This record gives sequence, structure tokens and C-alpha cells, in this order.
Amino acid sequence: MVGSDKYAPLMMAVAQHRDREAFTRLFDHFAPRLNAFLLRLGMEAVAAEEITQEVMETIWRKAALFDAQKSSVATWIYRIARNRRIDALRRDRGGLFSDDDMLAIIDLTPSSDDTLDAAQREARVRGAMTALPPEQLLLVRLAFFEGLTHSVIAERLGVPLGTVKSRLRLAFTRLRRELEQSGIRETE
Amino acid sequence: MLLAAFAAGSLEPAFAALVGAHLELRGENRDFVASLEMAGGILLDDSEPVPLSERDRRLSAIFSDKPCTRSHVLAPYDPAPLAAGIEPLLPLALRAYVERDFDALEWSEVTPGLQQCVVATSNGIEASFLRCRAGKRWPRRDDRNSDQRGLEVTLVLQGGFGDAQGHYLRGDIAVADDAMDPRSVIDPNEEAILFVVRDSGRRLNGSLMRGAQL
Repeated sequence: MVGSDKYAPLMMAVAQHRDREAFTRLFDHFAPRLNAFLLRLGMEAVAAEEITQEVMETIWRKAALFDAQKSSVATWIYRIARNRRIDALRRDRGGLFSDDDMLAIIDLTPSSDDTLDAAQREARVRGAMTALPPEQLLLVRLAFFEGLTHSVIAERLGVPLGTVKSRLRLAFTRLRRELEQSGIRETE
Repeated sequence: MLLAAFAAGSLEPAFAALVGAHLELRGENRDFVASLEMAGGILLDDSEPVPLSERDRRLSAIFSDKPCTRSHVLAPYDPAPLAAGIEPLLPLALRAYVERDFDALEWSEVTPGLQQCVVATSNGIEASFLRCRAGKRWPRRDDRNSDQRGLEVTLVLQGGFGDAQGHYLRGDIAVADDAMDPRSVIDPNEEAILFVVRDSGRRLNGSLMRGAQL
């Protein structure tokens, strides 16, 4: 994914020609990973498969909305799945949802003075992540992308709760600093 | 940490709507959230796949364009078209969350000069809109249900207010918990409209979420 996004041309083929073969390749790569991602967040197997299916349907129908200038395919799909999962929580309280809810992606296009394209930005994010010491990256993964609470992490890793909290704070501060140094600014 | 939790999708819907609205209104945290979402995409791309059952049936269901998922059965919320050039009071993330426009909110008076519209209560989380008279002073929580304490996050939609931590205008987020001085003063020039989410079961984690550190 660094440098160029090999999935972007497949998205284009789906958007422009309803290319089933291209979509099948996207499906075979991303659907099992989405499924894994949702399972890790604690979803039941049936629900994870159902939501994966809904996200893949959305991708098939809305492929034209993908913009390779703004994000990689993986990030776009990640956001759709993330929004869909929040909608699943809303559905528990009787809320409605739609394709558009799933796609209600705030335009996070970088500010105008940022001339990096999506692939370059992504390479830098990847760089910032790999610059983290392994134990901090593991914590970021567990806390932010597997949705584990601090006490569950402490239990799982066999370290005191205080250590988890201070390491996470370090990791988070460091990630911010790495991103800022690599040109992805964040104003306080 | 709110921003990271937003990017990770681990916020309750009310908090997610609040942070989403903040990102729509104010640009300063967008880059950081976008970067964290990229990190999410990278982690998704790198994750160990878990095969789905009935792959072929799933694919043909998608290609048939006759999906049976609920998203096709239910009517989506359809916001009224907006006049060009007029920024709506409610950002899209909030309108999608409450599934109403601002004019459709129903208000009840809490104390003179303070009106409230509760839009959700579940799992110890309460989301509400507040209208506060210009210049009003109030201890943010004590006027209302004093048993409801914990983390309180406020997004300014109109007007502004100040407290011991700082001064907040449209798009700004104020984070408070029990340990903080709750006294706030609404700006004197205009009625303030706020979106407030309270989580009675949650506390601030040390200095991590205080002040501008979202």
C-alpha cells in the first residue's frame, strides 16, 4: 500500500464498468479481513458476517464515491465499517440507518497547504506506527483498534493497570509527535 | 483520547456524533483523525483474514443488486435541502444522529433561562441540547440532575461560554468531570445553544483528556 494503492484500480473498474471480477478480488481480500476486524471488536460471528456483507454491498453500490486522491481503499473501507458498526449500536435503540449513514464520512481532506497525496500521507502514517517501540504499538492496537479496556489489556499482558495507562499515554504522545514531524500537522 | 476513540469507532453513538460535529465545524483536529483512520486502514489491511461462510452465495447476492439487508427496507433520514450559503445550526453528524432538524426539537424549561431537550438516554449516557440565556451563570451540572455525574462533554453550536478551563465558541468542545469547577458563564451577547453528552459511569483519565487535549 505504500507508494501506490494496488486496490484503487479495482475500485475504478467497479465504479466505471461494474466489473464483477475486480469486485470479487476486492471481496476476497477485504471481506475476510473485515470479518476478522469485527470479530476482534467482540461481535458475534453471525453479526460480523452480516455487517461485512452490508459493507461489501455498500462498496459495490457506491464505488463511484471512492476518491483515490483522498484515501486508500483500505482506509475508505475501514471508515465505512467503522461507521456501520456505530450504526449497529444505534439500531439497538431503534434508530434507522442507510447507505448514506455508512458513507457519512466527514471530509477529512487535509488543509490546503498540505500537498501530500493520500499514498504519501499513508506511507508516513505507516512510518510513524513502525517508529513506535513494539510494546507501545501493541497497546495502541489493543486499545484503539480492538476496543479493549485498559484493565482487560493489563490482565492480558500481565502488567499493572498503571503501567498500561502510562505506556498508552507515551505511545499516543509519540504517535502524535511522529506524525507532526513527518508533516502531518495538528494544531492544538 | 476522544479523537482516537472516534477514529477507532469505539465511542458510543452520542459521543461519536458530538466528535463528528466538532470535526465538521473546526478544522484543527481533522488531520490527526484522518491519520488515525489511515492507521485503522493499515491495521485492517494487515489483519489475519477470517474466511466468511458461503462466499459464493454472498457474492451473487451482491451482484444481483437485490440485497436483503435492512438498509434497503428502512427509509433513511432525509434532511431538508439547505439554502445555498447558509450553514445549518446542526452539523450533519448531529442531524443524522437525532434524525431531526433543529426546528423540530422540543424544549422544556429546567430553570429560568435554561431550556433542555433530551434526545437519548441509555447505558448511563444522556445526550441533550441546551439553550441558555445570554449572560446566564450556572453551575453546569448542579442545576440539573445532581445524581447524574461523571464525564460531561459539551459542544458549542451557537454563542459561547467560559469556565475555569477556557472560553468556547461554535465548534469548540469542553470536557469536564466532577473534579472540575463547574461554574460557567454564557457570553453576554447571544443565547447559547449547546449539545451535551454525559456519561455517568466514566471519569476523566488523569490529565489525558483535560482542556484542549481531546
